Amino acid sequence: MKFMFAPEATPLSGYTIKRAIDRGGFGEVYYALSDSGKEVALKLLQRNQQVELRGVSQCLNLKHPNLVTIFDIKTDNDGDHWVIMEFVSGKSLEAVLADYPRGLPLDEVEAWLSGIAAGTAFLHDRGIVHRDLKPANVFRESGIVKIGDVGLSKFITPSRRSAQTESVGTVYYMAPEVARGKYGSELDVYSMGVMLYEMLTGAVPFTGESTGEILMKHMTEPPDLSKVPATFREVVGRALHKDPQRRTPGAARLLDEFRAARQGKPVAVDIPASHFVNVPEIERKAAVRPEPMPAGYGPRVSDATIHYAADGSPRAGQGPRPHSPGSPPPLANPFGNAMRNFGEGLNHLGDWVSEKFRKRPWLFSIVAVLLVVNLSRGAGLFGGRGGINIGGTLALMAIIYFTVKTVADKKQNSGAGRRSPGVPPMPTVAPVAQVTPPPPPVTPPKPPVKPAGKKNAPALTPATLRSIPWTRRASDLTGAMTMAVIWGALATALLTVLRFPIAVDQERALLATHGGLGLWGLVTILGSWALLGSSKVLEGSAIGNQNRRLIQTAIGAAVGAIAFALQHELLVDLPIHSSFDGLFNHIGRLPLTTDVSVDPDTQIRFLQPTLAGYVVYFGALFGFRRWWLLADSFRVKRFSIFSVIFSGFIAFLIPAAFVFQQNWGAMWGVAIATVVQLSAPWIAPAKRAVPPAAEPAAVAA
Amino acid sequence: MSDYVLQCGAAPTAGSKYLVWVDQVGAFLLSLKNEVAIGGPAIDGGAADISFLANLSRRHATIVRSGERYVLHAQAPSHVAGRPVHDRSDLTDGCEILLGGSVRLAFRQPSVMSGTARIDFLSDHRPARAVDAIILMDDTCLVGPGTDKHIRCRPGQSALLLYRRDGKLWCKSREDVFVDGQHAPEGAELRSGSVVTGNELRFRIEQIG
Repeated sequence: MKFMFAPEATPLSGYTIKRAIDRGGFGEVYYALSDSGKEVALKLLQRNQQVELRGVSQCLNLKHPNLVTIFDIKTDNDGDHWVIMEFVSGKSLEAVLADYPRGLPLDEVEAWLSGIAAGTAFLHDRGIVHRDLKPANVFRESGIVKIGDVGLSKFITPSRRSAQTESVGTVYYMAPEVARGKYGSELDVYSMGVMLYEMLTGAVPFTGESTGEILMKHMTEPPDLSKVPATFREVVGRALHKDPQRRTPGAARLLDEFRAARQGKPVAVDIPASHFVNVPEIERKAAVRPEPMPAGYGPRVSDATIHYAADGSPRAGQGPRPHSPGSPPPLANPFGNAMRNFGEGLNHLGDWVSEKFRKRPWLFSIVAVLLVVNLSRGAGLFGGRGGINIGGTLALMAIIYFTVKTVADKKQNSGAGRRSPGVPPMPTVAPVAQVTPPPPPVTPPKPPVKPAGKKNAPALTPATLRSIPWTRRASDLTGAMTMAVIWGALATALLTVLRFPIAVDQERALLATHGGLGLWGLVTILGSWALLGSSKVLEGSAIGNQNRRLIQTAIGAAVGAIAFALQHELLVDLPIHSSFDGLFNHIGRLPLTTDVSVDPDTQIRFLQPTLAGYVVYFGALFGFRRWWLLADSFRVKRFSIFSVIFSGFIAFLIPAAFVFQQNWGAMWGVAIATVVQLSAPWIAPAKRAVPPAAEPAAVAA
Repeated sequence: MSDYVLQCGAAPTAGSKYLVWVDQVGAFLLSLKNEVAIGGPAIDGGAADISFLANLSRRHATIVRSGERYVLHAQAPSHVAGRPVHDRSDLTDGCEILLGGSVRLAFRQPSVMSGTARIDFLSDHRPARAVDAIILMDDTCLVGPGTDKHIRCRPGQSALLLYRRDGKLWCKSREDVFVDGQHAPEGAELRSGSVVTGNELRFRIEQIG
C-alpha cells in the first residue's frame, strides 16, 4: 500500500510524519510528532473532502472520554485539508479480537461495550451518527475505550434522514438500511450489535466472497445466533434486527440489556404495539417474549413496571409481566420451568385461537353449533361406541374458555381505547414498587404512534400481491407435488405402524388391509395435490378470499368424487356407525350415506358414504379452510402445528353437519394439512422479496 | 557483569539503539546492546537505556543477554513469572516481568532461529518515546507477517531480515526490497534515516543512541 507522504515529511508546519498508520475510506492517516514531541494522528482528507469537513467541523469541539479528540483542522500549502487528532497508542479492538479468535472473556466484552456505548450514546445525544463503527475504529488506552474516526460522522436529525449516496461504513458492520440510503442513529446500534456478536463469538455474523454478497446477507439473512452464548442471544438478535424501528432503541439500552442478560436478569422489551401489525408470528415471538419477573428484581423501573403501549395503556403480554407483591416467585426447578413453559404454550395456543375467533365471529358460531351436534351424538373421537365423547367435551370447554377470553380481551381493549393518549395510566398491578415509591419510567411514554399500515409492514405475507412467472409456478408446483407423494407415503407408513390407535375396531381392521391403507394414502396425496395446485396457481394474485374458497370447494368436490371412485375400485368399505348422525344426512334427495353391513352379534347397522357424501365432505373441508395460507411461499412458518390441529379440528367437526366417517375425515384433515405444509416451498421472511415493479400491496382480507 | 559482555558477539559500532517506524504496524525500539538497563524517568541525566514513564527507580533492573539466555538483574523490587527476584532470574519465552508495583512486561522469544527477544507492554506504561515493543536484538531480527517474527507485520507485507554485519546493521530479503530507493538483492547496509520498502511494506530506521 503506497502512501502519499514519506517518513520525515512535513506537509504541515510544526509536524513531522514518522509513519503511516492506515488508509481509511476518506483518506490517509499518519503518526506524527509535533516539533515539541507531542504525538498526534494526522488525517489527510483525500476524497469526499466536503462531506468529511462538514462532519469534522461539527465534531471539533466535542469532548468525551470515549471519543478520540480532534485538535484542529489545517490546510497545507497544496490546499489539502488535514485533521489533527489525538493519537491513541493502545490496541484496537480489531487487534484484540485477533488475539481471541473464539471470542473475548465477558469482562473484556463488557469493558469494550461500555466504552463504545458511552461514546456512541454521547454522539447520538448530540444528533450525530458515527456511521463507521467497527473494531478497527475502537481503541483502548489506559483502560479507556476510545472511538476514532468521528470525523466520518454525519450530522443528522430526524428530519434529515434523506438518501445519502456515499458509501457508508465498513461492509461487515453495515446496517441493512444503508443499502436503501436511508438511515439514522439505529445504524450505529446495528454496528455495535455486529461488534458484540464478534466479541462474543470471534467472528462477524455475515461473511461472503464479495461486498455484494455480504450486503445481501445483511439485508436478508437472519444472523446465526446459535454461536452466541444463549444468555445473550436475545440481546444480540434485537441489536441486529433488520428493521431499524424494531432494533434495540439506543446504544445505552444495548449496554443495559447486555448487563442485565449477563446478570441473568430478564431483558425488558419495549416495542410499540404498532410495530406488530402484519408482522409474521414467528418474528413477533422473536421480538416479544413475555418473561415472568422475579419479585424484588432490580431497581430499574423499566424492568419492574408495566410497559406502555403507544396510547399509553399498559399492555399485557409485552415485556415482563409484573408480579403482585404477594405472588410467589417463579419456579426455579426444572419441573417447575417445564410446567411454566407448558402453561405459556397453552396461553399461546389460546391466544392464537382466540384471535382467529375474534376476527371471524361467524366461524365461532359455526364451530359452536357443530360442537353441540357432535356432543349430542354420544360417539366420536376418543369415545367408544355409545361412550362419553371426551373430544367434544374438551372442545366445548375450549369454546367456553375462548368465549370468556375474547369478551375479556374486548373489554380490556375498549377500556384502553378510552384512555387519553400520552397520559400514562396507573399500573394495574403494582410491582415491587409498593415497597418503595415507583420512580418515573426510564423511557417516557411515547406519543401516540400511527398504526403501521400495510405499506409499512416489514414482512411480506401471503396477502402480498406479486407477479410470479408461470415457469416458477410450474417448477414450484411440480416440486411440491413430488414432495407430497413422499410425505403422503411416509404418513401412510406411519399410520401402518401406529395402527390408527384412536380408531375403533372396524376402522382399525380396515387400515390393516392394503385397500384401506391405499385409499387413505391416495386420497391424502390427491387432496394435497389439489390444494397445492390451486394455491400455487393463485399465489400472489388479487383474487379475493371468497372466490378462492369457491374454487377450493369445487376442487374439494372433485377430490371427493375421485375418492369415492377409489373406494369402489379398491373394494373398501368405509363404515359409519348407524348411531352417528349429523345435521344433514341428505342433500336434497341425495342421501349422504348408505347401508353397507350389519354386525351379526349386535345387529348394529353400519353405513358408508355415498358419492354425494364424499363430494359434500371434501367440498366442505376444502371450502371451509383457507388452505392457500398453508401452501403460500410467504406463509408465516414453514410448518405450523397449530394449522394442523386446526385443520384436523375442522375436519372432525364437518361430519357433525354432513354425515361422514368422522375419524377418517379428521385424519385426512390432519394429514393433508401436514403434507401440504411440508411439501409447499417456503421462503424465509428475511429472504422474501418482490420485483420492484410490483408494489407490495395486500389483498383485502 | 563484564563476563556477559565478553560472551556476546561483536559490539555494535554504528549505534546501539534505533527506532524502527513501520507503516501500518507501529514503532519499535531496537536495542543492539547486550545489557539493557530499565528504569524510570530521569530529568537530570543518567537515565536508563529504556526509560519508562512510571514510578520506577532510575535504574530499576537490567536485562543481560548471555549467549542464548536472558537474565534479569534486579536493582529494585521486581518479579519474574510471579516470583520476586532477589538478585537475578532467568527469563524464558512468555514469562511476565513486574517492575515496581505496576509496570508489567512480557518477555518473548518468538523464533527459535534467533536469540533476539521482544518485550511487550502488558500494562499501560510506555517509554518516553512511545513505541509498541522493545526488540533486544541478538544477531538477527525477523520482520514480516507471522507470529514467529520479532516485528510482526500485516499479511501480504514483505518478510525480511535485519542482521549485524561488521558491527553494522544490514537488511536483506528473498523478495525485492529497496533501501533508500536502491534495489538491494544482496542486502544493504542501513544507516540512520534509511527507508526500506518492499511489497506493501515500508519502514524507516532512526538511530537514537
